[in-house]
Amino acid sequence: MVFSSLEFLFAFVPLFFILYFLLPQRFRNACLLLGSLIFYAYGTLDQPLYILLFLASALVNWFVGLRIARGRHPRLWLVLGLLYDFGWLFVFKYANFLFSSVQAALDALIPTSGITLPGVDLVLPIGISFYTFQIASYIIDVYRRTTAAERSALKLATYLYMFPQLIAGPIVTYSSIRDQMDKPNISLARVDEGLKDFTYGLGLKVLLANRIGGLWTDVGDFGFDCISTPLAWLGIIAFSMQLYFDFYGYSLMAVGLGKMLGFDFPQNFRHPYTARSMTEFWRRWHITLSSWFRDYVYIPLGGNRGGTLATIGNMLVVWAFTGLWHGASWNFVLWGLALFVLLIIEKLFLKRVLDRVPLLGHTYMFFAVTLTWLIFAVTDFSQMAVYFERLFPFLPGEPFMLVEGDYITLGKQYGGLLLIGLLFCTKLPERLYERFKRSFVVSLILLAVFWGSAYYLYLGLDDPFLYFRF
Amino acid sequence: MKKALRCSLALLLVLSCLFAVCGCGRSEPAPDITVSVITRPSADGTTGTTATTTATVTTVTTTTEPATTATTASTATTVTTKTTATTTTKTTAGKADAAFPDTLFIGDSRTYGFVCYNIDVPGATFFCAESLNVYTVMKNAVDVPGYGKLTLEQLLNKKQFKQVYMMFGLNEIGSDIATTAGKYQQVIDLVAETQTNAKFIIQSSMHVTKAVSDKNLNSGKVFNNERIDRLNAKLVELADNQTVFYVDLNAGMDDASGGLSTSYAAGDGMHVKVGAYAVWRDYLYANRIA
Repeated sequence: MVFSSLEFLFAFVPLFFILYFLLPQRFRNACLLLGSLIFYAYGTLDQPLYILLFLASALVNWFVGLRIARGRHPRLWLVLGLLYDFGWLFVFKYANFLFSSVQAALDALIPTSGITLPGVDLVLPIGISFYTFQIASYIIDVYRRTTAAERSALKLATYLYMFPQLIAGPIVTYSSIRDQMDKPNISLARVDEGLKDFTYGLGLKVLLANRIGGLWTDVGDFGFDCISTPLAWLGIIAFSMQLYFDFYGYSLMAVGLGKMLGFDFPQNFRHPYTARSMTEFWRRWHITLSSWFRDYVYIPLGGNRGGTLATIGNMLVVWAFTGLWHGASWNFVLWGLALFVLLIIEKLFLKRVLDRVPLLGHTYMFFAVTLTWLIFAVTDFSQMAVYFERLFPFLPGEPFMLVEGDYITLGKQYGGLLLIGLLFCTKLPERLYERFKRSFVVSLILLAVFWGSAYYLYLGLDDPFLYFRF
Repeated sequence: MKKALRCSLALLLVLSCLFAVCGCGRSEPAPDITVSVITRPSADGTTGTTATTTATVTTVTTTTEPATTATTASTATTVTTKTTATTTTKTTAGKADAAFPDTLFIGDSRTYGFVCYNIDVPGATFFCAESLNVYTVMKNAVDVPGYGKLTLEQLLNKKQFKQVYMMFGLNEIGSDIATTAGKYQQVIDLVAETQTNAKFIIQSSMHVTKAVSDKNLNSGKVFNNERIDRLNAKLVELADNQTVFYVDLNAGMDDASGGLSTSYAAGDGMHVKVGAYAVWRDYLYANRIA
């Protein structure tokens, strides 16, 4: 199940929350666990084995956590636990990528080897990238003694599976939530605030992201070899906006649902497109992911305390894996590496310049963001090259054919949405929202947003959730 | 919590359950394709309003063959596509090798791409529209560039064509195949009545990509190549090779997988990209009836 669906909005939410509020506090976590399992199972009915795997994850890690805390070989248990968690992630997400890459290399180097590696064609369990990282953070924290091992398997399972952050984050560490789970902060005011945040996020996703995404889809339907340069730029701007509102909307919905449950989830986004450097950008975009990589990869590797060369090496590891986390395809690796290069350049000297000259910073970021998202968006390298040629017509490469005035017509069709999107990239809408959240007018507006979104969902418009394929 | 609040929450819970049960009872439309359509600038040069209409695909209950009984297929599925309008000037590249004088193209949203991407097809007339299908083609009035809005019969009475190309077979693929083929025959007869010397060329229904076909086959949806091939087999029988011909478009548009080539297919795997229209046009020209 996804948040932006009719069954979630009109069946799951009312049923679950009314039951949750009716129950006395001591049953609420159990209710949350049960509800979350139903939430997950709803989308996994075709692969019942995945549900078992999912249930096993909490059980295994609960057991491993206890062994790390009390056993005589904590490091061994940590390694076993991490192997189990990341092993499944590897099998489902990366095995095919590895095999096909090795196959391609073999075919290129030894064409007559006749070796054919098996293809691995498994459907990715929903949310596996997120819950793997989440449960790994738990056993690592137990090992480092930043949190005590959880004795109740049910409580750990509730933490891992709770539906607001199950499918797409934010990635929440156990230490940050465990006390909240014992004494959630539930009040009518918080429920109200949570509903409002949820609706805001829903609107961002359904009314903005899905519809702006139509421009990017149209550009794809043209075929990259047949678009004019202005349309190419419009297209990648549209994708950048779609990705942001899609994921930000979903994260906001998760935070809102968390508030309704009585929990405080961390924010995942803080106006990333207002950043003036890539370094700043990644402190504002998908914050919980960068925090995870910082706390569990960068700092354990030594961070920036080993001298410049070591720092560069550590950053390379972090960004290569960040790229890979986003997708099992070489373009994602390239994307991660491109970010790494930009970050290093900024760290060495560029960031100081960018911070001091805002106009330069914003201009630089416009190109840095759109071009890196292009690498992110297009899996096929030859298509990516074609798109770059369209973006920068001074590069060699002619379009196959052009449809005259394509950017004018598509610009007219999507112009309004793009302008609204531009507005929502700034801090203004959120500032207004935070300031006037409690007013009646905002409630009315959000009511309209909710029903507008429900209407569009009913129409069954394209509801691609770009971060969903994790 | 106060007793009154608890009672009202409990009542709400009961109501929600009822609502959920009733809501889940109805068969939800399973959206396949989404649409955003822009009206083209009208022929006199004034730009039309850019309207965004959206439509869902209504799933059709697959009717069973054999169809000796004439099943009315009024519940045809409609597959519509995103199209973008352009100005009335021609494309700058992709020029046609030769002309299609006095040629009429009849079709659905896939053929409509020729119009809205302004593909260079010199001399051709296009009677096509989004979600048009072989059951509605003789009833609906369609905006024909150069002629305004008129029905097929009116157009055929207005102008004499030398060739008529027709391609349907996606929107109505869920309907009974023999009945659909019968509808093709009706259009052929209409053309024969109104045109003195026109060759009628049935284009095979274009495949969808293998990936989309397999996905639809597995989920029981009708938009798969197996079903399209069955329709095409029936359409071949309609050709007499004297005035009615059949051209296998898929031979020119498929890739090695047996489905629509992925380099031609648009995002939904059913429509084609701008560049593919030049391939389509050139294939028809290369296989024209002398």
